[in-house]
Amino acid sequence: MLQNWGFWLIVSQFSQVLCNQKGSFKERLDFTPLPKNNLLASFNFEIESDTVNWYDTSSTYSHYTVFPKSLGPILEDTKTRELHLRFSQGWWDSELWGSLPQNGSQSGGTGVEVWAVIEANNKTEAEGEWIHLVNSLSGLFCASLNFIDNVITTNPVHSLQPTSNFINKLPTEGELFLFRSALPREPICTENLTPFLDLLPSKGKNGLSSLLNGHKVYDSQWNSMSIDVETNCDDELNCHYDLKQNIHMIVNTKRVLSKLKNPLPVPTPGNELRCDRTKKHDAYYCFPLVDSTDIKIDMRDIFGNIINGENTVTTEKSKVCAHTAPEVWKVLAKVNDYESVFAYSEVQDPCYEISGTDTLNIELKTDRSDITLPLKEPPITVSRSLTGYSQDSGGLRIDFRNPSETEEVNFIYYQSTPWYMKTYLHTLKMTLTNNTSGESVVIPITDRSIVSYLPEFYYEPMVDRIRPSHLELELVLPPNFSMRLAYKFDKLMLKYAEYPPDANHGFEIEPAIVTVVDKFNKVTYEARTTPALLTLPTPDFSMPYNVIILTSTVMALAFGGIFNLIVKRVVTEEQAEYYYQQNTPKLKLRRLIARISAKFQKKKAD
Amino acid sequence: MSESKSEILPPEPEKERSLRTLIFISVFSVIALIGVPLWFLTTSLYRAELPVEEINTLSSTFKSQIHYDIPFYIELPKPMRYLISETQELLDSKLAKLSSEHPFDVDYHVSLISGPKKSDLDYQIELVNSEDPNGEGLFISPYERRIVIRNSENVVVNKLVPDFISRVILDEVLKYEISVHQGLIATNSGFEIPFKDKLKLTFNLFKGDGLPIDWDTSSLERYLDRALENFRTYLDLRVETQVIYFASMNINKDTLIVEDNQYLLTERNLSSFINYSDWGLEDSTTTDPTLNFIIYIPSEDTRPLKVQNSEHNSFLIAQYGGVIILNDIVDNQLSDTDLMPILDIFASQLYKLIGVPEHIDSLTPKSPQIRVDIMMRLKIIKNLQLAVDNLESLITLSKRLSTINIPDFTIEHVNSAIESINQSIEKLNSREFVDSLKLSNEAIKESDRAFFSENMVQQVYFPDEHKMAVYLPLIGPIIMITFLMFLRVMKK
Repeated sequence: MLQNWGFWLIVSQFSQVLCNQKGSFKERLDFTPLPKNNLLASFNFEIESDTVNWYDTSSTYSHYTVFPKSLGPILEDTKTRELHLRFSQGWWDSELWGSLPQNGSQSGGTGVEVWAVIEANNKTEAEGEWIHLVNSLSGLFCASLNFIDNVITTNPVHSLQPTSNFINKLPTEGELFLFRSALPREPICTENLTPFLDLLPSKGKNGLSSLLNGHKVYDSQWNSMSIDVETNCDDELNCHYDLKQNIHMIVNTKRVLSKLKNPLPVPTPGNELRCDRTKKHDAYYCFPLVDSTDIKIDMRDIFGNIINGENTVTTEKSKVCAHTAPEVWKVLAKVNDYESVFAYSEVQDPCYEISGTDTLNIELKTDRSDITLPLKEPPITVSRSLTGYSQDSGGLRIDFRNPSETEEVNFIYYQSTPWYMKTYLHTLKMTLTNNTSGESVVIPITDRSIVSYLPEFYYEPMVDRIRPSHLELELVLPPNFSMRLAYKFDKLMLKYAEYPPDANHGFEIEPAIVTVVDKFNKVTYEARTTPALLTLPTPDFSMPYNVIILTSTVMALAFGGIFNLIVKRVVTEEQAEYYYQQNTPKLKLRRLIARISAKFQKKKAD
Repeated sequence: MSESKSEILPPEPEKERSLRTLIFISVFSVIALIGVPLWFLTTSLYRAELPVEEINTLSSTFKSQIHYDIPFYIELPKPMRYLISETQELLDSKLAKLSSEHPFDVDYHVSLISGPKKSDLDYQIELVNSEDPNGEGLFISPYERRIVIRNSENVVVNKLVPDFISRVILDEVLKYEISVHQGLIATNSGFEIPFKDKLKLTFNLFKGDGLPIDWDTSSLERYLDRALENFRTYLDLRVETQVIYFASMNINKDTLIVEDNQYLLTERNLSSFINYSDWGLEDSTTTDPTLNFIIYIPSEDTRPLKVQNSEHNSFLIAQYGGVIILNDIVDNQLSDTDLMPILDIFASQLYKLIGVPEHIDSLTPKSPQIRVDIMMRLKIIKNLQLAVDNLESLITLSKRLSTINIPDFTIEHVNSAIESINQSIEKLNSREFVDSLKLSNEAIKESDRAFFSENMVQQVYFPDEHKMAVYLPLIGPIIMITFLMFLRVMKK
């Protein structure tokens, strides 16, 4: 049966007011060769959603064209206005690779990190939505985000501030709350890439996303996957989500190529060793040289795939760009695997636009891989480490270095440490060292003169099992100076059930965030420290059972002794001996036999 | 061998013996009266008291507590008001007769009330006189709850007006509902989704390839605004649309039957057509029911794709949604005219999936509005039954598994479920059907929470055997010692 509604004439009021803006989708891939035969590959996908309307409760419709429907309802249900997710692995070597791609705005620390701006009427409501949000995301991204709760969540005040423009354009109904949490222990693997690809309209089937393959992406030296959703508005009625998905990865080309040749690592045969000819070298001696600078690598080597035709859904043609030193690097675009070659290395920053359904492979070729574009130096370097070796207390030390000779650096240091690290902030000491002369000065936090280097700080102490300690320091580092911050903490005891599996491995302390700001308080660079591994006193987990069993045994023994003492008859030793002489097993047996035979004789007599 | 007197063990004095027995009895009683209960108390699971009695009475009597009637409003000039009481009498007697043939499961009435209807949810009967002596007739408006009865000269003269009205009400409007109450028709078709007061509809445009496509979502909105209006009083509806590219079927192209240059989807294929893992249809945000409607445009190499034995090239998936396969699209654009016939099919599938009875002559009226009303009223009773069944199962479960714990909030949920059931019945009896439906949903929700409480289930994994194993070093020796002593005391 068909419901025929065709002859209905109703003038819809909504359709005239809201002209629904359709979403758009763009993608781009960048290659940047780095020193020591490393290569940075950066994927960038940008999706703009259809018009969203949160406050119109009468509207029951929401439309998704390129923006993923798996994400949209989650954002709307939890009133999330901005969402950032980071999945990263490895350690960024800034001495070798320079500053982070996109000034660190798309790179996370080791593990998973998530922060979101949630609109709610009050904090309790916002906390509920935050938990709801991370639980939903956990299902979507196959990560343990559902383990996030208030105990590891903070509300950053200076770092990670929202970047969406709806805050200025739209009068919000509720208040905005910023939540942030991290799971440094989370391993990042193929399961996280699949949902990432599913968010894209092209589903990894064509365009640049057809290159992404979990085995290759996560086999890199360093990789960072980021998902950022912002809400931006043209005016009050036209708001949309901007979804940016990025993957940055560093591959060592020599390693990739040798792994392709020998999937299982084998020692280099003698005749292939590159020995230093100026030193002694024969069948037994070889002083190895650095890797050769001859490189010829293509996408199939790096990603295991080639580009499967143009992306049909994008609003602009997809681009592949290479940032190479044009004198020595040659970049070739091979269409359909024939060299209908387009050598586009003559100009600086050459880009290739993909069109047509033909497959495309890009090859990078040079005999001087040591010549790359000049590296951009990061404005600050940071390293963090745990100090002390006892089971009950320890210390944390953070080293900053300003490499610039002329510019001072203003930055915010954000750190959230778990509740079982009981921080003593009064023990904080700042040591300033001149990089050239090595002269240093120590300023304890109680000293007034620290204000010129630490103008402001925010600290929310931890509460047992309720919230972490949250530290945000605004710091100023003069040119050519290094700064060291150090403070002490106590390690608290955990309850039996609070230990994670494999507790003896230690407890990861999430990476701290360094945000460099300029004079106008605009973020210019962002970096994260490595996670720290804290060892806590860890019990043997069969202990509770052992305690119960041992106590039970002792109690049973005591009871047995005392009970026997009070219920048994006390006799002298002689009496006891006499008793046993009368009752030796032999005599007992004889008595028994006598008794039985007496019975028999009695029967016979009857 | 000479024996000194001190070496001989004298028989134990009676006083000492009885003292020893006394000691044994007191130790034994301390163990039995204090030790054992204390051990049980400190190691046992918490089991709150379920209101077993109350639930049992509810399950046996809740249907007899329902006395609902459906009001029909009729406006008549004063001299004709006698018709109302006459018709009411006739209605009552007819219903009584029906009930005597096949007894109703609940107490069910129809009342005729004089005056204009009080709200949009009530039914209005209008009597019109026809010029034509044989021109009696009936018109049930498909879009509002209005029934127009046209009387002819013949009917009026023969005083058949009450009979005519009662026939219209019982045979044309409410026949289906009455038959269900009589137990003549089973309402469960197997297609319908479990009912909740929230429902999400997704309309999906799936393409087998990656060529961009555009569709007119505003005309979809206009269409659905009308089609869903009948449900709005009862349901909180949300509609989402999406476009998905590279949606490959779960079926290998080579296994499809080719007939007349067409790829045929056989009935066997249909069950595996939906690619549940890849198509992004699952929703992680809500546990509310979702119905998915899919327009599938196959990629070039599997076109044209036909569903075997289907007129509209569509099929229905029970409790899940509907699929239409579209082979011809022009300019990669789904226009208004393409969309309308598709949406007609989706609308009929939607009715089926929600459980609205189909229009069959002399069983259900054509008006979708009235059919939706009938379904909703029947849902109330169904929901109440489900909630009561849930509570009964909880009792059975707690009786079966003696090692699960029953936390206090289970009891809270049980109590609030019982309260909702009672309130729902009250509202039903006072003709507040919308509120009654909401409360019956609440009852299901609460009883589900009570039954599926996770804290209850996880305790199953700490069985009694574990407890015994841990405490054996204490209990074992103590039992041995006291038992041996017990034997000795008995022997003497």
